[in-house]
Amino acid sequence: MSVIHEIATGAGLALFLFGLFVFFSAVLGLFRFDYVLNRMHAAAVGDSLGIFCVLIGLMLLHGWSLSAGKTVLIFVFLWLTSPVASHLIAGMEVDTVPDLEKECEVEER
Amino acid sequence: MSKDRERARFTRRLTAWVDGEREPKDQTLFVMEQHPPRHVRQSEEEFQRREEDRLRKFFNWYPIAAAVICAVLVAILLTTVMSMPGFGEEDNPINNEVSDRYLEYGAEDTGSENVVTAMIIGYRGFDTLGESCVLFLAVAAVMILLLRDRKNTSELEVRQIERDEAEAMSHEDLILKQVAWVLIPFIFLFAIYVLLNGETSPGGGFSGGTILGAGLILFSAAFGFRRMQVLMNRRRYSAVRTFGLLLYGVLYGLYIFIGANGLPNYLTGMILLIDLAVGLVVACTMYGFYALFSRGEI
Repeated sequence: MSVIHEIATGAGLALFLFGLFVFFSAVLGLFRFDYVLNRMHAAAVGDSLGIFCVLIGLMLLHGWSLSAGKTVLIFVFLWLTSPVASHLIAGMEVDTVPDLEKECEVEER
Repeated sequence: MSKDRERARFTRRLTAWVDGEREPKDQTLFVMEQHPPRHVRQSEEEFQRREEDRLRKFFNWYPIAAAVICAVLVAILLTTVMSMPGFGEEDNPINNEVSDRYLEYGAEDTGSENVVTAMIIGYRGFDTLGESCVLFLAVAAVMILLLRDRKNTSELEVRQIERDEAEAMSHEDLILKQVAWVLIPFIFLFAIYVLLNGETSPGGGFSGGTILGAGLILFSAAFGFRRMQVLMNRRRYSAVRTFGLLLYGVLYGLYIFIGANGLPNYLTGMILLIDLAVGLVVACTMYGFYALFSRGEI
């Protein structure tokens, strides 16, 4: 039992630290990139992978309880809403910018 | 007879003012450049020279005056801080019987397990009533400025809006609609949960109302303004908002007159109802700002 517990703690710690690293790179990208879509890409990395790693790490660290269930709900909510919001912002950017080819590569389909 | 006419004229002038037909008087107190009337004006160079002189004087005195005012303010604040009791001493006012009283008798006095709610809505209810009034008046002011009606919208604008609407209806975003379809029931459920549990857990009127307003905004953004109007038109919106504020005022007035200040509290469930009232006002404020700023109508 205690071996499983220690493995879970170690995995949780590793996931948590990796999530922090992802968030750090997301913030770095958010400040370093110029164009809206690039910056959104950087922010989305934190919003999806970073949130995933941090919340799963927290759940492993604390063990199964009611708050872990609530964490799962928060996680589901964030993964549902954040991509939709990004999708809307990106769509608005593509619709309103007059010459998108100047800003970034456009793939014709 | 003449009094009646006077009143009618006053009403007409007030209506014209509210509708924005009358220009307000210019009450600017200070302008940087002042042109004197034409008959006393000197030659252009003379005027330029005078004006530059005036500005130079102004900018010479400006830093000095700013420094003096800052120094006086700093001195006042520092003397005030000097006369305050030291940090963390036992007989400070913050450690006196008030907080103990709140913690000990809060549940008994107001009927609320959550001490924060007891303080916000029970002991300091008038403060919260003022905040609700501020929200109510903010929406009223935005309505006066931005609400569109027959008088301030031309036919061209109406047609433009209709065209925009038709285009938005033909390009509805499928992703947003699907996700909103899944999420909105849960958002409303959570808002009701937070509203009704203000007594026993963190939450209450302000946070629950904010979640409710966010749900309304999401519904309006995802399914379009016309479908929102089935749920909430302008009449119903005003009724809900006014009902919230009135409910709060009446309940808290009753509470003050029959229960507060040492007398037993007869209004069980008062906190719950006031939380609901605050929640309605906050939700209406949030949704009202969104609707007015995005479309100019509710």
